[in-house]
Parts: sequence; structure tokens; C-alpha cells
Amino acid sequence: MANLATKIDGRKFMWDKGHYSTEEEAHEKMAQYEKDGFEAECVEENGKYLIYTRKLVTEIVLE
Amino acid sequence: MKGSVLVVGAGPAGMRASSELVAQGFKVILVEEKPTIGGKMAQIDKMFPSNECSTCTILPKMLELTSNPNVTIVSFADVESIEGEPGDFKVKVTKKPRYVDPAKCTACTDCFPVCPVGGIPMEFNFGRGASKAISFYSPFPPRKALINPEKCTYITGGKCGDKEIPPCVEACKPDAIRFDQKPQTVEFNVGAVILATGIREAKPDHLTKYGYSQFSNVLTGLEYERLLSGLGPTSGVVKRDDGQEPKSVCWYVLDNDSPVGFMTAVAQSLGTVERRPDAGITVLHGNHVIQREGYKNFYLEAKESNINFIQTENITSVKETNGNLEISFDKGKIETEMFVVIPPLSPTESARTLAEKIGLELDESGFCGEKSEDSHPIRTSREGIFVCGSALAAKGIDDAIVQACSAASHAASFLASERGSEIVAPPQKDLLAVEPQDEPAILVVICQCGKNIAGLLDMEELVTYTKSLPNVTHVEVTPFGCDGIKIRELLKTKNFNRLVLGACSPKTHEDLFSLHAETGGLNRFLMEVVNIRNHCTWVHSKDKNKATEKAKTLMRMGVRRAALLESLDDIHVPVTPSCLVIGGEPGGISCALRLAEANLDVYLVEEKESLDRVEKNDDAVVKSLIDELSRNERVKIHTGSKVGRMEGFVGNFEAEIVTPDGKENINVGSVVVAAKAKLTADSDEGDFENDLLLQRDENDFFIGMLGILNPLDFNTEGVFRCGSAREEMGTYDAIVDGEAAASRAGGIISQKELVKSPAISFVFDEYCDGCAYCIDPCPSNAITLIEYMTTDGEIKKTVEVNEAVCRGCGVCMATCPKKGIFVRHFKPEYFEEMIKAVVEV
Repeated sequence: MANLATKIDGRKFMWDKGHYSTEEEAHEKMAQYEKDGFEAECVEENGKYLIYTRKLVTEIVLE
Repeated sequence: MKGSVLVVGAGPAGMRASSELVAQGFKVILVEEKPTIGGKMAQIDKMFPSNECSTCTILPKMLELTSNPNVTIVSFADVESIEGEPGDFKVKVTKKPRYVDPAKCTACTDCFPVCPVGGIPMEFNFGRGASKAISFYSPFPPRKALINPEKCTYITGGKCGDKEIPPCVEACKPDAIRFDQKPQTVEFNVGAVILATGIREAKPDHLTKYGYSQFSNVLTGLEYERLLSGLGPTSGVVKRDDGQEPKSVCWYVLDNDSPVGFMTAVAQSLGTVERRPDAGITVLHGNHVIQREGYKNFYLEAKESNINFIQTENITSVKETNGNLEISFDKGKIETEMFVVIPPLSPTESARTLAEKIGLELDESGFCGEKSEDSHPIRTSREGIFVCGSALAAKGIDDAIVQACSAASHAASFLASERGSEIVAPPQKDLLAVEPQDEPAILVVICQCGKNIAGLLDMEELVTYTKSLPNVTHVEVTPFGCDGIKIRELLKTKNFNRLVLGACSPKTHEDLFSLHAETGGLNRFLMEVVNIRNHCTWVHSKDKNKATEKAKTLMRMGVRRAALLESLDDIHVPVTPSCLVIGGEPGGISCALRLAEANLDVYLVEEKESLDRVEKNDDAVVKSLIDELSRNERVKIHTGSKVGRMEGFVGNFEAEIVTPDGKENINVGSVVVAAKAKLTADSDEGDFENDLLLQRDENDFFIGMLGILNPLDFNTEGVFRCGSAREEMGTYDAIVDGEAAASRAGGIISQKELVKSPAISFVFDEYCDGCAYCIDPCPSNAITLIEYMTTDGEIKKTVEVNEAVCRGCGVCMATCPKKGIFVRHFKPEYFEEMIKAVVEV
């Protein structure tokens, strides 16, 4: 089981809980996340590719 | 040039100058004439105007210094000469004989009871209390026995009673007694000198006019402090010479030249009322104008505590009748059971002698004087020799601390080229690898603390009980845990992976015990300190059984927690080597100049178009500082400017400077606020006062950190205040204040990296659902909310902790409803286990 959180350049990123077989597949998913405004990073672990994302919340809308 | 400094005098000023110098990269030789350090601060009970416990405040600082590899403490020694050139002084110091080898003495006290010569009045207590011919000088470090050569019959007559071999020699297992010890001269080469020789109570002949040394129960202020002190001859209970507690006490303040005497009387009278609210308390005093706001408030507090203050021109007579005292003065007459005279303060004899030896000019009172030829209070008539604290003139501890910092900044800039040249790097840690799954093997060391613990607990029962606790593999009893001898020795066997200390308060001793643990090879976070002194033997001193039962319970809790502890690694934070000084008044100017002359980069921001236009700078001395500042390439002056938003943390701040030409972002390692004026730029993006969590009081001055030893610090680490930012002060005081702030700020930015405790908040992401309850209560603004996405497109939330900013206060842990955030080393399960240890008996 991969770490749920990891530090990249001193900032916390969270695992999307997916295992991607190829780097290409991972980058395709990353592009989707980035389109939604998330920063995304790819990490290779035991031959699989993992994606970690984050987006800083600056405003909380109360419902 | 040398990269080391001689500091003469180990009172609060000398100790502070030493620690400031080490922080700035200089080695220190600290010479003290008495056998132990701490000066007068170690003898007094509470400090004005904060009413803080003096011992509790200074003891950790003493221990910090005694365990610092870059401070050599030479106690019970006199400086004989200071020759050579500024930057390369040759110093001769004579160590007085103790007749005990301090390197061998373990402070076990086995020699004390066997010494047949007793009843010797204790010098540290001004003659009150009695000791043996071999004893400790005081309860403070360096805790080493010494022999009184005038009282020891073996030294005076060659025989101890009818014995040829003195019993102390036979009792001393480490073979530390040295009757052949002679005065020993040692030499040091240093680049600069700081004199912090302190003060003494002047006891002029006319003190007898007030009954002193004629009648019982007439004392000086310092003598009374020893009665108030918990470590004094009466354990903090004020007693007359007949052993009775007085129902009335009267003070007379003879020293009308400084606020020190009057404030001393205020503090002592408050201390007396705290102990005995029904006591009749009177303070007779001259005409005092109290200027400092803090002093005024302290006086008002005393007035509201039923203390009777009477202004009088003089006392006409003091008579003793039936053991009580009758004081007649120009406005009347009072009867009192004790009479405390606060005499004027004067320089120590050794300070006068030293000044003569090294050719320093003194004023008519024998002080080094607040001003010398160049009108700078901290410099002396000899280049490279600086002076601070009460060696200049009698003053409160808060002012002495400021001057000590200022003197350190002078020495640091004088020796700037040699910074770091003599400093010893801390030894590489060689710690035992301990994994959470490893079976705990707990070493328990129980400190006797002399008689403080051993004299009031059933030690045998405690040891037997502790041995029976789960995972405890060895229990050791040691005379003084703080010397670290047993702790290091046993841990070095590598037979133990946890340490429990049954000792004193972690608040005062944890850092020292941590050092001993790591020197022994155990990560300091695998150590638990159980406070069986303060929590058992002090508060239950009259009930040995209950105190022992409580000690057993606390040890049980400590052992259960220790079994769960995990190793943690320090956090290293890089430092930006520059400082931002906000405000171009005298304090800001002197601060910037002192930092620049110490080869550190400075940004100075002032809202006026030029520094000359600042109203408070209309002074010849300040103008010359401005000239020097404008010539120094290390300083970048931004006039007509303000400071906008600021973010970051100690060692790494990013500030926005709003100049007439636009905005500029700068990176600095520390910040000094040197003006009361609001220098925050109108900006929607932030306000540095808010961003740094700075607060002002009702008079608009900035509120600093609590504590008399922190006059220049804010609660926000790496940010300091000086000059008009902290209180109204004259030009010369503001200059010294600014230099002192330079020392504080310089101590941070002269380091390459800061080491931070890893005992800070940690997010348990499996439990955190991003509810954000922890964000607003965090006093350090260390927590932010982040979102992340999962493969199925769900957006989840969690929080992120800025490790450099978090101080591990635990507020987040208390607010979290999901156990999603906790402080490392203080996990909820540790507390659960401790509570179980209490209830599952």
C-alpha cells in the first residue's frame, strides 16, 4: 500500500489511490486533474505509477 | 584576532552575554569570583516588576551554559590581568583552591555528614543557616563541594579531631579531596572582553544607625531575600531570629538614586503578604518618581494589597524593646517585629580591583559609569573591552539583560571576521536504532536531588516498586541526575531502549536530561521525566507515606508512557542570512549598524524621506550613526517606504516593501520592529503586524513575550522589538536597545540552519476529513486546508501543517473531533495509557 500523503518540494500531496501501469496512462490522468485546478505529481513505485494531487483551499463556502 | 570572548561575572548579565555570543558564533570564557554562578539573581526570590520566581527562571539558563561545549566556566576565580591588543588579549586568571578536585567530585555529599566541623554560617545566605567545613557554596551549578580553609581543622592544624586521615577523605569514593591544592593561574587568549561584575549591597557604618548589626531582626534587603527564597535557610518561610514568623515587617529604602531599592521593597513586601495576608506591612521610602510603566503597575498592585507606603525624609531612631523594634521617623512612629533596610548598591570589591588592574576609568561611585569618552554607555576607555549590567550602575534585571545583549553585539561586530573560528561543532549523534516494534527495555534512574527527594521519600520502597513495573529492566539511584554521570554510563551499555527519570521538573531540566540521554546514545524522545520532586516531595513534604505513594503512581504512569515512545529526528530549517529592521529611529539605526558591522546584511525601512527627517534623530550621536550607516555597503536603506504583507517563519521570512518606486519583495531570516509608528503599508494583500501576529497594548506599544529575560522578543519566533516599539525611552537607551535587538536577530541569521524540535503536529490522513476545525484556533497560523482528488473523481479534504511554523502547542489536537491530528511525542494513546495506569491499580 502506497503512502496516502507524500512531501514533494516541501509541500504535501495526496495519493489518488490509483495504480497506473504506464507513465503515459498516469500523465493522461494527471492532465484531467490539472484541468480541474489540481497540482499533480507522478511518482514511480515498484514498477507502477502513482499520482499525487493537491489544491490549496483559500475560501470555504458555508452551505 | 581571536574568535573568543572573556566574560567577567556570571550573574544574569554575564550569563546572558555569554549565551548571546555563543549563538552568534563566538567561544566564551566565563569567569566568576564565587564558587557557583547566577550572581544576585540566584539569591533573590521574586523579580520586579513581573513577580516571576527568580530561581525557576535562572536555573535552566545556568544548566544551559554549564552543558554548552562552547562556554568554559571558570568559577571561584579572579581575573589578574588583561594584556595585549584589542582583538588579541592575553588574560591571566587565578583559580582559588577548593581543596576538592571538581573534575572528580560527583556531588554525592557523602563527605558532608562525616565532617566533624559544623555550625559554619553560610556565606550564600549572608550568615543564616549552617554548614559543615566541607559543603556546597549554594544549590546552584557548578555543584561541586569545597572546603572552608579557615574552619577545616585538618588545614588549620594538621588533624581532623583525633584522626590522622580526615573522614571526608575516607568517605570520598571518587578520591576528590585535595588538601594540597594551591591557587592556580590559567591563561586564555581572547579577542574581546565583557565586564558584567555586578553589584553588592553597600553596608556603610551609618547602617548601624538603623539598628543593623546591633539588634536582632534588622536585616538588609538581600538578607531578607534569602528568607523569602524556597532554597534559603528557612525554606521560604520568613522567620525572625527566634524562629517565629513575624506578624509585622517594615522596610526602609535608603537608596533613592535608582528605582532598584524601592522596587526591591515593593517586591519583598508583596512576597511577604502572599505568605501571610494578615501581616502588617509598611514601606518607608524617600521621594521616588517611578517612570517605567511596568514598575508603576507593580507598585499599584502592592498598594492594593494592603501595604502601607509612607514617604519620609529620614528615620530619627530605631529602638529595640522586648524583641520588637520601634521605628521613629519625621511623620510618626511604628512598631514592627522585623525591620528591613534597603541600602544603596555599589560595585563589588573585585570589580574595583579589576578596573584598577586593567586601567579602566570609573565614576565617583566606583561604577564603570553610563558614559565614556565617545558617549557610548557600553564601551569602556579601553578598546575591545565592553561593560554591561550593574557594573555600569544599579539597575533591574530586565535592563541588565538588554545591556548584556548590547555588549554581546558590540563584541560580535568587533570580532566579526573571526566569527565561528573557535566554535566547536556539536558532536555527531550516535544513537541506538529503536523501532516501534522493539520490545521496551526501560532504564529507570531515580535522582536523590541531595536530600530534596531522598530525604522526603521512602526511596527503598520506591525502588523496589519501580523494579516490579512491566518492561523495567534496571533501576538506578543517583545523587544528582542533572550531572548525567549515571545516565550516560548506563545508556552507553546499549542495554536499554527507553529511559525514565524520576527527578525534578521537565520544565527546568528536560533539555539537560535530553543532552545526557543523547550523549549516552539514546534518542531524547525515548525519555520520560517523572517529576517526583516538585509533585511529591515539595508539595507533600510533611507526609512521607503519601508522597511515596504518589511517587509510585507517577512512576507507574511514566513507565507505561515510556514503553510507547518513538524516536524522532530533529527538523533542520535553512536560514536566510539577512535582517529587516522596520523604523529609522535611534533604535533601528543602531540595530542596523551593529548587524552590518557584524558582516550581516540588513534592510532598513523608514517612512520619512530621509533618516535625518525623523524627529528623534536630531542628536549629534544619532547623526554620526546615520553617517556610518550610509557608508556601510551591507545596509540597504529604504526611505519613504513602508512594509506590506509578510509571510514565512523564523529564518525565512518574505516581506513586501512598498517604496516610492513600487513594490519590492525581500527575503530575510529575522525581523526587528524598531518604531512605535504604524509602518504598515495600505495593502489589500496583507499587513505585517497581522501576518506576524504582533499585538499592541492600550498605549500602542508592541506587546512582547512574557518574562523578564525576554524584553526584546515577540512571541513570534525570529521577530524582535526595540526602542520606541516597546516603551518610551531616551536616545541613549534606544541606541543600546537597538544594539541589543541586533544581538537577538544576529543570533539567528549568523547560523546556517536552525534545528527545530520534531515534537510538532502531524496529520493522520486516514482520519482527517478536512473539517478545518483546527485551522482558526492554531495560534501559529501553521495549518492550511488542501483538497485532493481520487480516481473516481471524488474531491477530498485534509490539512497540511507547516513544520517550520508549528510550535507543537497541541491546540489542533484538542479541537479535532476525529483524532486526525496530533502532536508527535504527545499522541492520545500515550495519555490513555497513563490514565489507565492510574485507574487500573
